[in-house]
Amino acid sequence: MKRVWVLLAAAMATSSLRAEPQPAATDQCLSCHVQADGSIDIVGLEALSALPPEWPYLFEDAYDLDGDGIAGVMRYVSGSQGPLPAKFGTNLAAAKFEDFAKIAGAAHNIVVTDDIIEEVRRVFAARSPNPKNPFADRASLETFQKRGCADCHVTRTYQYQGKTVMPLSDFLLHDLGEGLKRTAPLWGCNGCTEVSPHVRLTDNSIQ
Amino acid sequence: MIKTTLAVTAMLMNGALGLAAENTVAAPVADVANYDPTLSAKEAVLANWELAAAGIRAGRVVGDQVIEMAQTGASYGAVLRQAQFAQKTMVQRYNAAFWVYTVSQVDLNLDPSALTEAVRAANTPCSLDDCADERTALLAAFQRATSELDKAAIAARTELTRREGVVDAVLMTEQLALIADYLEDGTWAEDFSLTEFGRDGEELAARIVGAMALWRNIEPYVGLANQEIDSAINAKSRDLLRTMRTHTRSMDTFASDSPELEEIKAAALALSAEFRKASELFSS
Repeated sequence: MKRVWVLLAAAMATSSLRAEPQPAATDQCLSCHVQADGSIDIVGLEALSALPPEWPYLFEDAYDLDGDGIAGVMRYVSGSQGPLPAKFGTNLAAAKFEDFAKIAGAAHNIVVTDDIIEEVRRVFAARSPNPKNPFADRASLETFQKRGCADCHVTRTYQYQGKTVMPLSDFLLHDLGEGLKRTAPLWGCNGCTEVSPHVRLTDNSIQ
Repeated sequence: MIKTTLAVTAMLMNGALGLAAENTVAAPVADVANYDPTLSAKEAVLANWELAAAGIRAGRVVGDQVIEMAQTGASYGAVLRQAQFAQKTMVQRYNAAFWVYTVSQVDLNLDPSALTEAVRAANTPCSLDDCADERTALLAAFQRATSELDKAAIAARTELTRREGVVDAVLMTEQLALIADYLEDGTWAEDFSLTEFGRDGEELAARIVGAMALWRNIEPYVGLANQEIDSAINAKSRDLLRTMRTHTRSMDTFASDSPELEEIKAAALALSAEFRKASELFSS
């Protein structure tokens, strides 16, 4: 009998949380990402959600078989229908936005319910800048490719809501000397396709 | 040679060790503050089956793009560029999943000659105006190849599903024994599909790293169970990869009795023995 009351109390607490999402939690999530102009620093949130699941398989080279000095690995994470390749987070922490929200909530001690996650997704999606092609012309794209930048910031595209999208990331983890990090998508980046922050070392690896 | 695998597969088939939901294999603790994800041992093994199934499916998806372009009037040059990218993925992913074909008792029904034909079509240039014959041949070759890959991906996914209700220790045992059998068996050094294109080395390398990719996903759990075996596997893996790189980058084709191939097989055999020890860690 006591167990039933405990379950009832838990159910009511959950129900209460669902009925009234905590605005503070959404604000807390926004505070880490909002920029001066009101947009958030995550570009293409909805386009990222629509990234084809096969994408990282097209580029993975975990043991540098092609000998270009660059090894890139996929990361599998828990998914509702089994393990899935991750695409969210600089360390590829999650395959889905809702999973990433839960991980971020745990990291920052923010209680996130399913309703709050949905609210955060709605707010983030509304403020997330659309992806854009950072190349002024064909020549700048070719220069980017010739420099070897496209080895990781791949220039392949996919279709999303009738638009051609070029995320400029293989969504693989690479070790550039600071642990494994995801190739940063450059689809909202101004000018960063012109100057590379990376250095190719004498052994052909990149830092 | 594949006794361990057969025994574990029999247990899977009988369901004698299945249906237990609890995790019994120790997993690394996630670093929550650093957004560090972690998988249970069971998820890690299932991820390896997903890697095979989804990898093959990725080959089908890029092949489908070639078919769509060929059917919708894109220039033959554009279709050919897409075909060359696609065939590389198809070949790499087929060979990375070679372990599934050779030792897991799974019949994926994939005829490798379908990939050979797709590669041939993707390497057939055209100098005439309409390139109609080449386009038709390329379309047929990719339709056949994607159909084969589709069947294989579905079969591999079925194997994943079959393991969802099985306890993690059994899955770990099976997976490690599979890798040991695969490396020992040596079928990865036979039946190359692209010898005529001088791509034996590429196929062989993909087959070896396909097995190494399995290890990458389950390594943390072996490390927690026995650090010594974990270190031995990593050391022998480095030996195999170094030997494999040296020979596959310098040779286009391999005769079955070539000294280079024998050297790679010897390194694989040494690694297989360590995987055999690891498989026994979870079998008690």
